[in-house]
Amino acid sequence: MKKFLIKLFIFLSPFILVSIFFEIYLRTVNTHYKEKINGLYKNKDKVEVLILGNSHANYGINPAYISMESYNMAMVNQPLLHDYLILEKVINSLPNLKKAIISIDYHTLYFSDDGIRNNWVYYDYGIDTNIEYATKLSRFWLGYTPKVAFSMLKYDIKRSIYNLKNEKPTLNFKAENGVSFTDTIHNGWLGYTGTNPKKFNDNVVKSRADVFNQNITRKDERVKNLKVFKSMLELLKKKNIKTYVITMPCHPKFRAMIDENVRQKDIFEIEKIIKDYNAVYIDFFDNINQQKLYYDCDHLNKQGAVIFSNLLNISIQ
Amino acid sequence: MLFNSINFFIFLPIVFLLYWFVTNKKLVFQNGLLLVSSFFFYACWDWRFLFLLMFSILLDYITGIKMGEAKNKPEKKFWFWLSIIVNVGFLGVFKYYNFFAESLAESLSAIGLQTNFWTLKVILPVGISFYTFHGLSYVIDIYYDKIKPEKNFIDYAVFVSFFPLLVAGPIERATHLLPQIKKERKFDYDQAVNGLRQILWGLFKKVVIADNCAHFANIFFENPAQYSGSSLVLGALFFTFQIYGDFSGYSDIALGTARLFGIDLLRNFAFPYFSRDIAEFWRRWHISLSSWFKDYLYIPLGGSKGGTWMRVRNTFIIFLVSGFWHGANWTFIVWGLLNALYIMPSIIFNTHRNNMEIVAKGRVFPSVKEFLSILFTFGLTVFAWIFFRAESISAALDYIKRIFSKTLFTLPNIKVLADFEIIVCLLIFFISIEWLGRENRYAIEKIFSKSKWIRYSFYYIIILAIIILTGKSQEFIYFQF
Repeated sequence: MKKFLIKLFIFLSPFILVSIFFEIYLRTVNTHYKEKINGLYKNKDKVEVLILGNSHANYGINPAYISMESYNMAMVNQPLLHDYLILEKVINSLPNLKKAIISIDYHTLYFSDDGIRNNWVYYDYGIDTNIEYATKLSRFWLGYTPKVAFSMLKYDIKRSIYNLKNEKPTLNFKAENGVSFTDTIHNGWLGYTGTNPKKFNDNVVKSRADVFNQNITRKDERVKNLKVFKSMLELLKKKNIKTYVITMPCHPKFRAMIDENVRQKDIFEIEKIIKDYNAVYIDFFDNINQQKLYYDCDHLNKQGAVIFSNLLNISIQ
Repeated sequence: MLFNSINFFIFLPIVFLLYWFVTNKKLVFQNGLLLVSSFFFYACWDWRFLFLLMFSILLDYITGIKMGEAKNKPEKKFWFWLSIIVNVGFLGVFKYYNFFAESLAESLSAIGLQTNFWTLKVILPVGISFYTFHGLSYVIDIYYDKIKPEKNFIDYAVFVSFFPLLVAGPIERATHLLPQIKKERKFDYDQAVNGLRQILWGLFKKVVIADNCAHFANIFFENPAQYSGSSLVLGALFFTFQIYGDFSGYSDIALGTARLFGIDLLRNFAFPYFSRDIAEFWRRWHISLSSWFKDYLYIPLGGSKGGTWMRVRNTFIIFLVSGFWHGANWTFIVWGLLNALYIMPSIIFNTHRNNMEIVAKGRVFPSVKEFLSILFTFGLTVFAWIFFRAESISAALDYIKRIFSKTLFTLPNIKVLADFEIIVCLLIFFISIEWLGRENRYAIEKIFSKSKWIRYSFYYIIILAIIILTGKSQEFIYFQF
């Protein structure tokens, strides 16, 4: 028995060491989330407009083109619940906050459980959506999973090697594919560079739209999300903050593949709800058509973000 | 608790250490620990259904003793049928009630009678088909005087609920497992190492092979209208490897885990995709279920004694029941019947025992004839799995119709499959290892046994693959049965 345990321990020791290394590394490494929240607190006295939403808003709204001091707290796959919990957490720290922009897209009302990102918002924002205790303890095995942890380390190594040879600054956290390595984050915003033609292939667009079309069948999620949405509006109204509920633009190819009836039904519901609050709804869904302004079928790139942010700026004056 | 969850890998070492260090002095303590751990393991899924499991254990324990004490045949018969009716009744209510109610309502509406049957909104208790079959085999064996009733409740309860086999088998027999539970167990280093090795291979099959293949199979099965015939063939192939990796992987983890506690469970898979005919396939796929049906259904029905007609009839019954055992859906029934049709020529011409030996035994490569036989049998199996995977009969027929279209001869659409090349390489690696290890109980049992360093390197590669190449977690397919 002793022999068995000793041999097993020796056999597993490389994995134990790797686990310990990653548990420490993942507690110290910089992330997109950390960067966003730290940036917000750094600018807390200046921020007048807070932007919330999913990846559409995260990539599509550049605060530099909004005439009031704005901060983008939207994030990839960020459900309404996270938007609400972020708002609840930071609202008292933002003394000058006057406006909030909440992006509600085609699938937003039908999407809430975001698996792994629930862990990340717990680690970096301190928002607890009842994640398991074991996940709180083990970032390597559960919180990030080894696959993500390795990719983060790989990015850090690549960045360090690049920095040795070049003086150009690089992002000090791993961002999504499509974001340039040498970009800088500004008021929470990072943009996609260029257009990925592969992403406009009919099958790819169809698969993307199918994900959303599948989401909109979850009726229970809609009920839950509408409740969260009302809570957000309530909170903003209490603080006397003007709210702009917007739908981000998508490429015509994508628009043609979604169920417009469902979208109109949701807009009707949103407009009905916001009547009781200090809020306005603006639909930008079909405002931008040129492919060169998109990275893929439903995300604006840097150029698109400039055009859209200017448009948004005019609309919220 | 899932075998591929972190919780299980915390639970297992704790039980293992308690078993060999704290309760090792007395067998009753060891069995007591196994029982408590097994109940905890089950309760982690849904504690409410633990009472159902306990009731099932208690029912068969009591009826077993009553049968043993019965003074005459009618009394014995009464207890026997009580157990059978209650066991099958529970299975019927939880697993089949809605199916029958809905099917009847549909049939009546087809002849113009509108009915609104009351359907149950209950979740299927995980493992109910498995532990019910454990209990059934026990009472049937007592009824036919093959075994004596077990007097020790803890021993009997461990036999039914031993956590490695509780939720997805293998379906054990009292004649095989109970004597092991009653015997004092000493720690055996080789057996424990063997157990760990089998767990490792099972995990690889489940989280790397099955979960990655599942992701690809789902893409094609969820939207067959969007893809070419050749792509749909690819989808069926991925499902074929998914279900094998999933279920045989689960069985490997179960067998390996049991071995850590000094218990040998029945083998459930013996490299079925290398079978040369369908009869051989069914001797190698889900062996514990096939042999259960053979012993408790086929033989009581008359088996092969009554000539060709009886063999044909009984084989159809077995496959029909086997299909229905898998789930309350017509797709499983068609899958069962399709397999019955496949096997029928060998039953009629009495060739079903032609391929009893391991294929290409002692050789690296099969002969051309063997290779073609394997390929043909595999093709038939892939086709049948389409019914097993599809949501309904019409969905399966639609899928097949789309396969046999002009687009069958175009290149499959692999652009929608992220990391397709990696998964194909993994499958080639997996099939090669399985082929090389086909003469053993599981593929890597004796792999590189002559070179320690190569063997250890291989283990590390497998572990790294599990860590890095894990697919999106999917529930074990056989949990739903």
